[in-house]
Order: sequence, then structure tokens, then C-alpha cells
Amino acid sequence: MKREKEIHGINPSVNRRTFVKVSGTLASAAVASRVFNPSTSSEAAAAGVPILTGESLPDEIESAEDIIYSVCQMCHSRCGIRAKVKEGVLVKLDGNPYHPNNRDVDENNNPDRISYETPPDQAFTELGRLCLKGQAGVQTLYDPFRIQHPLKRVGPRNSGQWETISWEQAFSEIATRIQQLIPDPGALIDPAIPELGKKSNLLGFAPGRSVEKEMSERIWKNGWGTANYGLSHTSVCESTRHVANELITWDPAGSKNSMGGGRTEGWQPDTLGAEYIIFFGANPLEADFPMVGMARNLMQFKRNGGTYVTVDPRFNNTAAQADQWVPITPGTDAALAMGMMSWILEQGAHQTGYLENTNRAAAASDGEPTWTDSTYLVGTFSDGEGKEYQRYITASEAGISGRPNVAADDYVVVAGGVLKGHNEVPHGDLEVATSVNIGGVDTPAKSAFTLLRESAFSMSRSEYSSVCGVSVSVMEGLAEEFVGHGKKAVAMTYRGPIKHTNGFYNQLAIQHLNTLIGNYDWKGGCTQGGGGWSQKSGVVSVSNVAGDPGHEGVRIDRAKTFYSPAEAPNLFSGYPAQRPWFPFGTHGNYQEVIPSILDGYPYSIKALITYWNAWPYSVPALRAVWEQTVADESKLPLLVTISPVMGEVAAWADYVLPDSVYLEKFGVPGIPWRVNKGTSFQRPVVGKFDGKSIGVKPADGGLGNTIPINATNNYTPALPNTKAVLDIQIGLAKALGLPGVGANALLDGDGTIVGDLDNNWDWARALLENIAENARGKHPGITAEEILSKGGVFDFPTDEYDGDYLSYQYSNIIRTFADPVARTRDSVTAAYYSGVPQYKALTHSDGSPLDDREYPFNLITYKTVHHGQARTNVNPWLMLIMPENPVEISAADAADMGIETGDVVTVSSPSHRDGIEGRALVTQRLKPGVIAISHHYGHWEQSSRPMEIDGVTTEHDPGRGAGIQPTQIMRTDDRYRNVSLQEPVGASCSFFDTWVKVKKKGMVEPPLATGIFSDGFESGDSSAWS
Amino acid sequence: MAQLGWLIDLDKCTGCDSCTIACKSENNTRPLTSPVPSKNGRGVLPDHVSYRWLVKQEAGVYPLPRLTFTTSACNHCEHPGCLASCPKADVNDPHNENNAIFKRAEDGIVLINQNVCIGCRNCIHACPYGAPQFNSSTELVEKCTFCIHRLYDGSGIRTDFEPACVTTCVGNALHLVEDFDPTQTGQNAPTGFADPSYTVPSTRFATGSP
Repeated sequence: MKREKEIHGINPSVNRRTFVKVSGTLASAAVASRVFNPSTSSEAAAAGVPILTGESLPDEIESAEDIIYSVCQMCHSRCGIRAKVKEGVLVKLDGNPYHPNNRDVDENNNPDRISYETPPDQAFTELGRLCLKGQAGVQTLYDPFRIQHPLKRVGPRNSGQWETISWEQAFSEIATRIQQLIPDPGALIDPAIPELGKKSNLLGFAPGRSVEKEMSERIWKNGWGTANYGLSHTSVCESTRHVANELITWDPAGSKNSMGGGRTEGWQPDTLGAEYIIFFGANPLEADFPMVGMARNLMQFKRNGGTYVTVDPRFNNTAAQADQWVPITPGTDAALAMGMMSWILEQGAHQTGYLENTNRAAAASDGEPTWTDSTYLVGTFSDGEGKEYQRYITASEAGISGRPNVAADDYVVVAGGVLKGHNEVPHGDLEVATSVNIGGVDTPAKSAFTLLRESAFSMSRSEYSSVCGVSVSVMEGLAEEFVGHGKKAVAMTYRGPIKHTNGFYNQLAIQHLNTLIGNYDWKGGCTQGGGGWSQKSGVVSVSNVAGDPGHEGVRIDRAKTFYSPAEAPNLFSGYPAQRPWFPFGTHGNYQEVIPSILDGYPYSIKALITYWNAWPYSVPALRAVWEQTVADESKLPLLVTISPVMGEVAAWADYVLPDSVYLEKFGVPGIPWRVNKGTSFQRPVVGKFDGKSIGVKPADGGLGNTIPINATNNYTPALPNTKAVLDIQIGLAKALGLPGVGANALLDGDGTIVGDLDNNWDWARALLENIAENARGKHPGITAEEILSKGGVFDFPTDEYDGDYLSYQYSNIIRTFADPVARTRDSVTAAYYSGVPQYKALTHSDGSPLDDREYPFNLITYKTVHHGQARTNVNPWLMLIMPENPVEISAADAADMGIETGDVVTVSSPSHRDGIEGRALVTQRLKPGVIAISHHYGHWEQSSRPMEIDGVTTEHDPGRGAGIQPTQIMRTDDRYRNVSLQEPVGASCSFFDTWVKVKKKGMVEPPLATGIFSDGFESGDSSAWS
Repeated sequence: MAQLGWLIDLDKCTGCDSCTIACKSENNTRPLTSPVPSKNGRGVLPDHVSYRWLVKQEAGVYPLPRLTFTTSACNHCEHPGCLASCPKADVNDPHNENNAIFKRAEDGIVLINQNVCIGCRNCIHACPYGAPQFNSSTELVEKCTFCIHRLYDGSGIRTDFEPACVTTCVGNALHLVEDFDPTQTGQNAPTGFADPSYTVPSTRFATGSP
């Protein structure tokens, strides 16, 4: 360490982290702190230079070989990461500069993302942005309380007593137990009710998040053969938004349920191209995703002169930088959107020419990538029981098929007063109310546009205003501004409008504001995203398994299947169903799984394997039902949990299989809804392949930052007796003797053997080769090695636009009428759903109004930028930013109740009359009548309390349990009392329809600590400016 | 002498605190790992040292509240109050690295030499911006170094890197200024930012208006 010249104050390279010489164990906090501060100030002192920072010095700057690109999983944004790894120790995380989430344009709108052609050894001085959660991922990896060995329960469930066992014992015992519980997986569950499917369905795989789902589906669907192969989290997240968008883009030939499927599930604004954006219950500077990309673009949008509006009961960070905040009454977003729509239609400010186009060719001749169903006729029919419902009218039943350009199933429009096929004329009449003779019956028929218009005008704007709490002038002002930017305005949602019992219609209403101006696929309009290059096929067909037993039957959550004599003839016994069904719930129903197991409907579950799952913590009103169900081994005989930490699910498990964290995994998690095209590739950044350490220079016997493509590459995570989830599932599959793993298991699309599947590298390599194969159209000659070296494959900066259009287009029909939904009866009320966007009041599942008027406040939740949902309490840096979450109360309401910031208050609901206790934060940033509690604190597990492993009490951090989790007091449904309120079409659970009482309990020490240096919040520590 | 400084575009700050954590991760400031030092499990602010932080201020009255974000750190002042207050620094020889606090002649970065600091905390009281912070473990005072270890390599040659906070700023609100003009000190400063005439901080703010 010689100094070349006198340098004032600069530390030379005195800083050497020696990773866990203790063969990788993070057994204690003391060892973990060795990971974080192996170089001490005494080493620097020995070098005889000034020491400028505290006891743990900064790490020396990086060279090209210290950099490994991978993908973040601290939230679901799936940003590219740039891991700085020194001597096998991860010391810093930044953003991948090749990745469109993390680099985009500079202040002058010139490309800032580095070109994909840049060699990695020239890229190391380029860094992308990464949010605070992503950077704190170092602490997820080096969490001293991670589970280190497979655990087997000792004593009753949730007793906190464990013994360590070997992986061999774990795999063998679990497999044996499954085979005892389900000895004949190929037999029918009940021969009298064949629609339940085979007994293989009695095993469920429940990945809270399913980022490695190609593998888990291969094992559990194609290897074991259960319909319950993916009981995942999306219904607590944004499934209704997905489902509504799928119905807007419905393809009758799709495959999501027996009626078809959506062409896309997501719309996002092309922020950089837009001029005006209204965010309804979306928080792109905090909880919306991908936050880094969205927030970066939104600030550049401001720099470019754009205007944006936040519609939300709570004034969040996005509102703080917005041009306008519209505090709306929760659950009434459709009232605002329909009111805006009525103004736009009244003014004739909608894009008539766009809406009149009847088909692709007509749209193309107008330069429109998309067209709509606005002119298509919808008839009102009567079913066999005399119940009325609506659906599109077909050309054949209207008696016009067989003519040139009119097929039997074509839609019918009216042009010049005459019935025409939708491919027969380029334009139809928008306003149609007629009757069509169908089979000798005069059938009332209206255009989809007329139905939308009638719905918009079914209430006056002053009525809409009194519902949503937004004044008529603000409502009309938003509408006027929205139509004043051509195609460069967007109305966008996230969870706010949709996690209500009426969420489906809220999403339809808001999304179709965009339809009125026809902004789809236009620069500055709505984008479905650029997508990526597939990892699923090409060289290896990931779902092709020789000996696949097939899977069939109803899922435990009754998603994607119709409760009807046609689809469940032996189970159907008339309305209401024993538990509700969700035929359009194409993303499953997470909240129904446990109550359904408790009720044994439609069948019982014998074995459940969970992964990345926080059911009782995350799901509204589930905790008590979870505990009741899982405590009873006759209800759920086997519970196996794959988890790196002792979470709220793991605590109840029979076996806990410790997996590695995302920095020790392979995967292809995709890129969410960017206008750019790309496929990220996630890889381990620490650990060992075939005994050689990643990030240690080859001369020292390590691998450096590469992975040798042709080696066996058996992987050992940083904690050597944990396993990557892919290896855990391969181990379970082998112990069960399932097809699809082992020698010669990997097949191409034709069934030709292309390789073995014995470890996670076999799988990762298959995915890599597929991506390379599929990306060669864009990047000729690209190899698996190149994708690995750059963290994925991406298009070039500026590829996103083609003149005034987006390059990656949806380019298909936009449906304002949800025809499949309108043809479907609700499994509880027996009523046909409406297919028309509208404002609907909040209800229980049986249609009775939600009326909790003795509880005066509407509870809402939110996520701050500082946390993901269920996992980030293990990151001390993130808990430092805000050590606990408060109960936010508007200043007006707090004054009425005599509550001040820091007071302890009890928040109770009709479903949880004892309530939960938290500390008040009185704010002007909340609509009066609303109480807000964030959704990421209040853990009761996750190393916040000790357990006993092999008779030894484990270390823990009580601070990880700080704060409160509002899901515990959320409202249950009045008919099905062991599940939350639900949105029946998209299968969402309700998050924002609980009404609560707030009672002051008094002030206790210590004062509320809302974060470091947050003086604006009257916190206990307000030393910000001195 | 060129003076390095900060330019902060206040209305492009997303309030995300990524700069705060980038700084902690880069400089390995405490706490680094669990269990965090705290009084109990009820969310008490743990003992910590943070060279950069975000000030959030609420103002206004519903339905027109305001929430402002100001990222804050050492401003590497032209006339550092910390240095003037330091009993182990010679104000007449401010560039001497044998001072406990010294200001580099080359680029104006103000540094605390942990070998010389006695932990008296005079600088904490002298600084109007809350930059110097007492480390209860070392019992010495630390603060932002402008990531000097990233700006220069071991030979003192300027690298292509920037301070960790600037690198990661999500909103592109926080910028490094290579040659700060002291006549622009405190320009467009937000409410609560101490009068810049005392120490002449090397920080200015942009309103961001086009």
C-alpha cells in the first residue's frame, strides 16, 4: 500500500473485506458485523493516513472485474442491479446502466442508458440509479437471523421449537409424508364429482410471489399434476386491474378461461412522451412499480413542462410534487371518472373518428393502431329462466352473414341506418338504439357507445360529485384539461381504485377515459409495455415434461372456472355457492385458499408447500382464520415452507426449508411495463460454483465475475447449508420420483432430449439459451455469455418511438363492453354482471350494501417508498428511515377527538372490535373522515422474537416487530365470514372498505419516531436544521 | 482553487431517501446490521450516524397541504463553522490535514480527521446545517466526505465516479457542481435553511421551473 504522492485526506487502499472466513456462517450478529466491517480504522491508522469516517471505512473503488449485473427483488419492480463484489463479499448495490428501469434519458432528453453494445469492461464507470430498498438488499443477504439449516418442527405448530435436520432427511421425510397423505394422486378426488379432478390436486404450491414460476409450474403442474400449482399473491396486489384490462383487450380465442382471455393485463402511461397525466390511486414516486423508472421519468416529464394530477385520499410523495391534488372519497373513483366522461361526451370532446372505426383496416387508414367496439351492437337477451343479460349480437343471428366480408361470428354495426358486418364497412354509427329481429324475437339492441353514454349520464355531475367528494368544477376542469392534449394525456390507475368491492368497474371507468381520446400506442399515450424476449421456449421447452400426468379440475380457490351446470355439473347445486367462484380471476384468489381449506370446499387440502408467502400478515382479515386452520392438523396435515427467514407462515410450518435470497438465485423476472423491450437475467452475485467463490479473482482460485458456461456449476449460497429455491424443488421432485427432472429431462418443443436437469444451473442455462435464441432478431449473434455479462438483453436507447407512435404496440381492439362478464352470473347473487363501465356502490358478496355507519372513519392503507410489503423489516437502514408506522389522522378529525401526534390510539372495526394499538400522527395531508395506516410494519415474526433451535434460543431484533399491520382489523364479508370483502370479477380482496373507530388511549413514552431528521412531522428527533 | 458543491433541484426530488441510503451503504455508517441499537422494540429511533438525510416538511392546511423534501448533508462551506469552532484545528492553517477539521485546498472539501478529533462536539453546535454527527461507538465526530474516496483514485487522479448520493438520485435532483460560485451560495434556499451569509455553504437550489 504505497502512496504515489501526497494526497490530502484520501485513504489509500487500506480497506479489505474478508468475507466470513468462518465458512460463510452468519450465526450471530457479531459475525454479521464482521461481514459489514471487516476493515477497521486501526488498519487505516497503521497506514498512517487521516481517517475520515467512522469505525467502518468505505470500500475501495471498483474495477471492471468487481462488477456483476443481476436483478433486484426487494420489491416487484425488477430493476437491474450492479453488484460491487470485493473478494467474494457484496459491498454495494447500484442500478444496472444497461437496464431501462435504471437509466433512461438525461435532463436534455438525450439517451443516458448505455448502449447494449458497450462491453462490460468499459461499462464499470457507468452506474444506474437504484432506490433505497434496492440498496438495502445488502442487508437482506447478510441478515444475521437468516435460517441456516433445514428445520423440523418439535412440539405443536407455532410453538417456536425446532430441530435442525439434513437436506436429505428433509426431502425424504417430506416426500414420504406426501405419499402417505396422497397415495393415489392419479385417482379422482370424488368419482361422483369428476370436475374436482384428481387427488394430485390435494397438494398445493403457494408462492406468494412466483418469479421462478417456469420451474415451479414444471415441478408441480407438469411433474406432479396439481391444478393448485400456483396459488400466488396477485389478488392482494392488483389482480382486478389486470382482469379489467384483460376484459378490455378480450380475445374470445384466448385461453384464460373457457370464454377466452385478455391480450394484455396492464396499461401504463408513456410518461416521457405525455403532456398531462392523472394518477388515480397510483403513487409512482413511492409504491407504484417500477418506481425508479417511473419516478425518474415523471420528474423529467415535469422538467419538460408536463402537468400531472394525483387523485388520492392521502397526499403522498407523488402528490407533493404534483400540479394538483384531488382528495377523493375512497371507493368512488368511478363516480369521478364517469362524471368526467359525461362532460367530455356532452362537449363532444371525444375522438369521434377513432371511435367510429369498426376494424383494423379502418383504423389503419386513419393512422390509428387500435380500434374499438364502440359501434358494435349489444343486445339484451333473456335466458332460460327469464333473466335478462346483455351480449354482443352476431352477424349470423342478425341475418346478415354470408355476404362478402361478413362471417357468421362477426359483430354487427349500424351504418347509415342499415345493419352491417363490422368488416363490411369502415365506420359505424356511434349512437344506436334499435331492435334486431333474432330468431323471430325483437331484441333490444344498442351500440356499446350508447351503453357507455347512457351509463355516464345515469347520474348528474352534481350527483357524482356528492358521491366522490370532488366538486363539479374540479371534475369538469380535469375533463377539460384531459381532452386538451390530443393523444398526449393519460388517465392511470394502480391499487387505489381497484382494491374495493366495486374495483372492477372503477378500473373500466378510468381506463376508458383513455379510450375516448384514443391514446393507445401513441407516443405520450397508453402503452402495454415493450415486453421481452421469451425464456420459455426456443432451445428448451420449459413446460415439456416426458410423463406429464396432466392436471385437471377445479382449483381450491375456484378461479378461472364457472360455477354453472356446464362447468361444474355435479358440484353445482344452485345459487348461492357454498363459497364464491371467480371465473374471471385469471390471477387466482389468494385470500380464498385458507378459508376454503378450513371449509373443505370444494375439497380438502392434504399438503401445502409455500414459498415467499406471508399469508396471515399480508391478506386482509386472514390472521385469525389462518391460525384456526393451520392449528388443526386434520384440516391441513402437512405444511412445508420455503423461506430464508422465520416469517409469519414459516412459524406454523412442519418443515422450513431455508432458501437463498434473491442475490443468490437465478431467474428471469421480466421487466414491468416499460416502453422499452428487454429481458433481465438474475444470477447469484455471491456464493460458490463447484466450490469456487464468485467475485474472487481467478488467480486466487475463484471465478471472478463470470460463470463458466460449460461447467457443472453446483451452487452453494453464502450460507452454505441453504439452497436456491430451484435446487430445493429439484430435490423435492427427485425424492417424490416425479418426471421432468434428472438425466435427459430437458426437452425441446418436439420432445427431443436436449439436456439434464440436476441443478439450478441446468435450468438457468436453458433459460439463457432460450433468451439468446429469441433475441437474435434484434441482436444478431448474441450468446448466453453476453446476456449473463450484462444482466439481460435490452433494446437500444431511442428504440421506443417510431415517429408519433410507440414502437411496441398493442395494435388490436379496445372493448368498452365486457361481453364475457355480461354473459356470466355471479356465483353468490345469481345475478348477471353488467358489462358496462359505471359507478357502483360498495357491497358484501351477497349484494347487500356495506353499511358500517357506527364506525365513522374509512381505513385506507398505503406503502411508502421506504418499504416493500412483507420483507423489508429485516433491513436496518429501511427501519431507520421510519422506525414505526403511525395511525394517520386528519387534523380536523384529530381536533374533534382531542388527539395529538404521539398519542396512543386504538383502531377497531366491526370485524375486530378489540382493535389494534398504534400511535397517532396528525396531518393536513389526509382527507377528513379517512384514517391511513401503512402496510409494511407490525410483524409478529420475521426474527422479531426468538425461537428455540436444537434447544438454543436464537438471537432476534425486537425492532423488526415495530408498528402495526392494518390487515388484521379489515372487514370480513357478511355472508362468508371467514374471508375479507372481495371484488367478484377480478377476485381482489378489498383493502380500503373497512370502517373503523379511533379511540384515544393517552400519551406514552417514548415519543413517536417517524424517521431520521423529519422535523416537519414533530417527531421525537427533530435535529434537522439545528 | 475550485470548490466542489451541490446543486439541488427541489421540485424534482421524489422524497425517496435513496441518497440517504446510498450514503450509508457507501460509507458504511452505523447501524450496519441487526439488531439495531434501540431502547426497545417500539420503533425508537436507533443510534445512528447518517452523513446525508432528507428533511420532510409539512405545511399548508387541508385541502391545500404542502410537503417539501430537502436532501441535506455537509455543504463544504467556504468558511466552515465547524473548523472555526474546532479546538484541534488552526483556523489560520485551514488546509492542514493534521487539523482535526481541515478544508482541502484542491477542491474545498471539508474533512474531519478521526486521528485528531477528540470528540468535543463543538463543531456539532457550530454547524448551522447539522452536518457533523457524534458516533457513540467511536466517541468521535463524523460527517460527509463528498465521497472523496470515489472522486479520486489511490494516486489522487480524479475518477469518473461521483458521490454515491448523486449517482443514485432517482429524480435527477441532486447534482455535483465542479466549480461552485460562492456568490450563488444558498440561492433559492428552502424554508429552514440557515442564513448562508454566516458560513457560505457550497450549495444552491434550483426551483426547477422551466
